[in-house]
Amino acid sequence: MEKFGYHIHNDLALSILLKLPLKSLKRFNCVCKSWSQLFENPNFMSMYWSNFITSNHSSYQDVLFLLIPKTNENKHPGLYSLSGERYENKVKLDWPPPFQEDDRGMGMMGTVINGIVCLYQCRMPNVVLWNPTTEEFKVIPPSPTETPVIYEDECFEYHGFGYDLVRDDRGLNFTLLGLYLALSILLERGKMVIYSLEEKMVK
Amino acid sequence: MAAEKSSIKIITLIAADGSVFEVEPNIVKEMKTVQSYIDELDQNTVSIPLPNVFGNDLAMIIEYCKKHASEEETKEAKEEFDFEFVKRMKSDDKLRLLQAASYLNMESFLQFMAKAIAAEIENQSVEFVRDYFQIESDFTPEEEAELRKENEWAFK
Repeated sequence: MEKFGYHIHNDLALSILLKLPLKSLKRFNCVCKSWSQLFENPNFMSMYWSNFITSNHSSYQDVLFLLIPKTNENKHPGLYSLSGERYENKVKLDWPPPFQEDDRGMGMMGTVINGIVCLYQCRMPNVVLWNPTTEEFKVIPPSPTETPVIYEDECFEYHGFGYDLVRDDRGLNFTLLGLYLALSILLERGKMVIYSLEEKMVK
Repeated sequence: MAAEKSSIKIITLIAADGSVFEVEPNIVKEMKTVQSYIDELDQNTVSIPLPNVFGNDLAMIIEYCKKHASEEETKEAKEEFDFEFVKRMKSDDKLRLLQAASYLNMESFLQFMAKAIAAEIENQSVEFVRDYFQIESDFTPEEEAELRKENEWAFK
């Protein structure tokens, strides 16, 4: 490869690094120590995320997820990622560990947010946030106010998974990705629990 | 004051190698460094030395500014221009223009160049990036192996 004598300043390198997709950013962690430290810096990462959210970053937006539920008729149930111009690349994904043994009634809630999907199991209090790219996952703990106990006639219904931009903006705490998860647990008494999570799913 | 400023017809920019460029005031609007000169000087003709920018680079920057300052050009034509503009550059051109953009304090051109460079290095290897920016690794082989293992997914 050709060599040239341009060693650029850190602030200029920063303006370039802010525009990289996440995968490249993580890969370039081991370029040198100062970059690695930069990627640990909360200010840098907050700038990175706000850039990521506001710019039309393609790395996640051109991937669709398709869930084929497990029923008697479906020969190939599971979660697939679809990518490519015509979504012609279809890859079957392995469930994250909490669902590997029992994948009955799997569902995906809402949309993909910063590469994170929200998986749940029908009629069960099992909800997991999962980043299929990094394979990181987080099991959502049961309601802090009351541990749900499953009775036969009880039913859990999940209502949504979204990104709370306002909260994130106000919180000024961009290291933590502001995630907003609404779970409603319909007990006989009719009870709704809203989870608000600030989880750093992508280190 | 405003009337006096508008009386400036031509601005002369002198590059590091002595080459001279005569441009209209609307072309240098983006160049905050140049603009601050103009604002300070109360003259009809302005000549500004730019000792940190070479003639070839300045010519390219002026070409870019002319295209983007034009009100006749459509958004699509400007995008097409941007695409071709980057395409004909080598890696070191991009890095030099990024530095020139920083020196001239041209925010949107700087972002444009940064994006072009990011597009060139994304998905490349760590070694490519070190070569590109002339960075020497300061990790021990063990540290680097550890980091690669931690971020294994990013290397697939």
